[in-house]
Amino acid sequence: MNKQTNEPQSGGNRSLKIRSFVLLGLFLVLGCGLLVWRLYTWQIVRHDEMLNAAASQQMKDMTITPQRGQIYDATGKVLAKSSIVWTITADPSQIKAPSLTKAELEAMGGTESDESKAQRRAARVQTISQDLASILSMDAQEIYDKLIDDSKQYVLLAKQVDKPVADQISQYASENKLAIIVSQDTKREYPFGAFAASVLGFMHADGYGFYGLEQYYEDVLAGTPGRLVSQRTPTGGEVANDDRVLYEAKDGDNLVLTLDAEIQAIAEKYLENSVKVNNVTERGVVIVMDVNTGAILAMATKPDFDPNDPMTIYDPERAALLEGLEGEEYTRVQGEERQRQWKNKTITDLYTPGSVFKLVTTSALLDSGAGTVNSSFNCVAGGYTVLPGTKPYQCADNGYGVLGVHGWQTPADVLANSCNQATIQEALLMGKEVFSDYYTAFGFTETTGIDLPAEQYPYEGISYYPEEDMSLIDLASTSFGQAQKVTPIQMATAVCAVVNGGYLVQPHIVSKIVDNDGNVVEEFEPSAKRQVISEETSAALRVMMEGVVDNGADGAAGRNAYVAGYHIGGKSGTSEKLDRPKADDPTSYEKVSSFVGVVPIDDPEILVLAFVDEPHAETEFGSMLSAPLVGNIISEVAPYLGIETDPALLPTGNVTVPNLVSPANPSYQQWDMAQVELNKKGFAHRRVGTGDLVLAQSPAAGEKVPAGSTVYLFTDSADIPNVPVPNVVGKSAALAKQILTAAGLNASLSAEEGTVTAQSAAENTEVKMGSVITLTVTGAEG
Amino acid sequence: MSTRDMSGRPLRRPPVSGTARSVPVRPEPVPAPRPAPRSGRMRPVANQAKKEPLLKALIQSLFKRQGPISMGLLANLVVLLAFGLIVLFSASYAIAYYKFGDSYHYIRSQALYALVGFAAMLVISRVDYRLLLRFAWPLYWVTLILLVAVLFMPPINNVHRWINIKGLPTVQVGEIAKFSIVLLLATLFEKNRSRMHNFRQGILLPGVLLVPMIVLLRLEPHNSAMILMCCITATLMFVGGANLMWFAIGGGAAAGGIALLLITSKGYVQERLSGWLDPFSDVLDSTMQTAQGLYTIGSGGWFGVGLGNSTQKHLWLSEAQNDFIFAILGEELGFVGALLCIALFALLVAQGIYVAANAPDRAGSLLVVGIMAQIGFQFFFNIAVVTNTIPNTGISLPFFSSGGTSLLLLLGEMGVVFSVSRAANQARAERKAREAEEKARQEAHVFRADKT
Repeated sequence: MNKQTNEPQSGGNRSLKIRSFVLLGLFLVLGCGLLVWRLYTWQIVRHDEMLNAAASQQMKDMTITPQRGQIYDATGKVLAKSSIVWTITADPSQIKAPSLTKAELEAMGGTESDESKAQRRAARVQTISQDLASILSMDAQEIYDKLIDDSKQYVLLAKQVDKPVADQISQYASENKLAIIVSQDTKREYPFGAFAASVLGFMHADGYGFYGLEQYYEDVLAGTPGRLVSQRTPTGGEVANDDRVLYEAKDGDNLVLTLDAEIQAIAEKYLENSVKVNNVTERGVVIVMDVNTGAILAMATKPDFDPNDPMTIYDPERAALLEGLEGEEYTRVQGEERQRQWKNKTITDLYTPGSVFKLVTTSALLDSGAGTVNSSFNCVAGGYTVLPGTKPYQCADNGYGVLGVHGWQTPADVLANSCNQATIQEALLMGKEVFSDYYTAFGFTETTGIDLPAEQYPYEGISYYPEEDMSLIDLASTSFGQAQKVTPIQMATAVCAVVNGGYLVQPHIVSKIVDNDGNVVEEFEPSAKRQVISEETSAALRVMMEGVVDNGADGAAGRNAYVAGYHIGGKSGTSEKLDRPKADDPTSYEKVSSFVGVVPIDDPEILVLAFVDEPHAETEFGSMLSAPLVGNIISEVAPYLGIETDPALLPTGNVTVPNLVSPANPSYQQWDMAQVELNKKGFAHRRVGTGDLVLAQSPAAGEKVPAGSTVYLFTDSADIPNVPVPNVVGKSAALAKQILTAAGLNASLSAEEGTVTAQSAAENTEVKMGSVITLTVTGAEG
Repeated sequence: MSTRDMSGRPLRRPPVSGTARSVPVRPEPVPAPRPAPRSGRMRPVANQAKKEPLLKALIQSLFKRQGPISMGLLANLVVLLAFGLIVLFSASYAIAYYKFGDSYHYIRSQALYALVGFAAMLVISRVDYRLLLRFAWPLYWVTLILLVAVLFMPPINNVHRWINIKGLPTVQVGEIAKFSIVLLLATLFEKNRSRMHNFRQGILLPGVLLVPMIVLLRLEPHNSAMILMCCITATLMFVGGANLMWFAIGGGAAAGGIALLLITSKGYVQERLSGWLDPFSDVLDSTMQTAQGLYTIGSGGWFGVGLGNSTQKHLWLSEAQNDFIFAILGEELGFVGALLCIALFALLVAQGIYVAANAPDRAGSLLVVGIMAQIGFQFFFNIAVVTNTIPNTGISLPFFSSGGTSLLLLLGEMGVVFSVSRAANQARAERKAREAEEKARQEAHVFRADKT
């Protein structure tokens, strides 16, 4: 080696090199070695532990709410629908004070106190609250109170927000980088409000069906929730990567009901009125049913509730019970009252059917052969004693304190007279074994199985008496419907069997389940559980039932259910609630007033059952309270369903208009009773106003008008409004009549067919509503 | 090492600025022998430069024919730089998007600084590093002034670390201080080469020079810079030839002092210490960053979740683009990727030390050693923090962590390293040429002798 490279100075250099390489060695071996070992520890040895910890904090597991199915009536009207709404929540802990600019921080002397930070945060929250409040139409203070607490990570700001508002909130949140989360939710809406409420039911706040169809068909309506598993950021956002797994939600299927909103509305209108004017304290029900299929066309309980807000107590009298209560007592009573208004009385309440049940006893008598249509039974003064030493059974009084004594009667007479003594004899004649068989066969010892929740199961000793335990007294009392309690739907189903040829049908309210694409998922075929009585017996009973109504003849028990032109059969029932003495008169009992009507009785299509529980009116007889209710419902439903009229039962020519104006109205002054009068006489009716009493009528009492004219009943004011006369000259007679009816007028035609050549009032003349316009019709068709 | 310079021309003969003693047959006049024998193999350029105006010397040195750059070191640096930028983009786009609504917020400026820095590095590599030695003292004083001035600057995150003037990029004075102390100590340790074993020259002087900086950094406060400064200084003292006994005593005392400081410190430091001992004790608050860092790096396993696929970078891990960028690297590229990164750094430091060992003079060696110490320690501490090997101190990873001016300074320092490497390569080339000539002459002599 060159001598120069071994100069003395290079000793220092060598030391530098040696020390450098020593350090490098230490760095490589100790430094890098240590790091590699540490990395191995965390990345390999503790990999699973770290990965799990990271994954669990990152996992975002979201349930995707499916859209709940809709509920449609038979004609396609939406009775319950779900719409997508948005829920707005926020994370107050992520809402920080705005960051300071350098200059601002400088002005504070470099650092900021917590106090000042809190103040600036409060100011920001104030601004945010005001902005949000204006978007959400809420109170800014309310939002402020929720957001100001920065220890919270979740507060609910608003629920059921519509899309435009939700979009605005999302935009506002992203523009201002706020931890406000807008999440999707569904809202259940019942467009008709307090309508068929106890049938539809309602939703629990937690999103499941709580009552009615909503509960019964929960599985069908609810659909299957989807799931979104993805990774999230600490502020709740979603990380867009391949680890996102989405299981789409399956929306719920839709229900199509047999229930027809039009018929339901008619039923509810008259029931609501009846409950009101007769001071019914335990609510009333109406069932309209297809006797051949068991399809429910209307099912009403009044008063009810608005399923959009089921928690409010709607009956003011019941709501008054809550006044002055506090604490647990308040909660308990409130709970009871809610249950009460929610209950579908047609299927959950046991009631004493009273004389309506005589239809069953009579059917059993004839069908078993124990008696015939010509058998006769005697009703005597002093009553009928079943067992020596027991109190004799009496017939009901006539409303004036005179007990009924009916003498010798055929089964048809027994029904027409609603004779208790004779019905007891019928039952005793067939014996408890036969009676019990029919009792069971008519379905009174089982639930009907209607597709609604909470149907009352029959109780032994209350709903029925098993044959082996049945005393003769039980048999006697049961025969005329005073010893047993059944549900209205059981009674209605049994009467269907009485009239439809003897088939006990399965009552049902859902006709089909349809998915969102319109495919029918399931269809309910009408089915009969069994034939209870023969066609012949059924035919005999139909004749007897028509006799009860007797085309509205004076004195007929069912006359108030008559609507001229239709063959209507029926049976009334008035039973005493022996466990409910009247508060003001302990010697008498609260009543159940019921009526069942069938139209047309010669070829039965629909059944209307009505009952009011604990009425407090001048009369409490089913024939006087519930028969008019049934009659009025038939007067609108029968034409709506297109049930054919029998021309033989329709009056012809000109008919004298009865006096319906209070107090001249001989029956009961109320407008519904006035309508009953019109029903019987073959008039159509239209109520104008919302009052109870008829203050004026048009055409006037005593006026002779063509049969079938519409009589206008004014319940708000005695003044009859004027309407302009339309021009119908040149139109066909039938069309002219329709035009005038639509204009609030009546028509008197000179001929049934032909073209109108003249009208008695010129076009646009103002005449009183309901006036009869005489039309000259010439030139028969052809 | 390449025997070609940047332009690819082979170095057939020694450059004009060759050493005086190297080639007796040179046509240039041989400079007079230096009077001071201990100045050793000091290059004549520097001697001449002392008489010339500084600026002129600087510009001249840019255009002088120089030794080739160390291509291996350059290649490794380019790989590291590219690797760093890729990882930074992956680690930063999520947080950039969430914070600024722009995924490229960090990578755009970082890439720009990297380009500018790389160009600056190449220019600086042509500047004779001996000229820089003249700036040692001025730079030291300027740094002290800046360290005082920075205390009066508006704070960022409540600390006064940055020269923070509106409209200008922020500059961390701590970064300047590191280079400043390296430059000064390299200069002094060369001058005092024979007295380094003395307590005064080897221990006291560097200590005295270091203390004001440490005190000022403490006032910012900037603990991580303090630690790094101490480590760099200690490295230079050790390599520079300080007496090992004094060194051991001083090092022990410093370590004790630091330990005492940590133990007696309340609040912040104490919290970080206890968090170190159990990183999962308070994952929602004080140990959150450490714990999240461990979740992140631990999620990687052998091969990682794949580049770009980290979930932890979506706001779970704070400073994912900065101090904890290595955790994201570990998550996305796994243990294998992390090893590769460590290997690149290890290679870089080894290559640096090789340059230092071959530097023509002590100042060059010490400069490179100091710069390598800075990079090496920062690298070590950063990964040690991420793996919870040491308490969380907030040290960024060179070439990886986001921070433009820091990267710029780092590349500038690499420029100095390359300047030394050019000189080393040149010296080596000269030596080889000289040896070849010597050999040829001897062979000729032998041949002649044989003939005779």
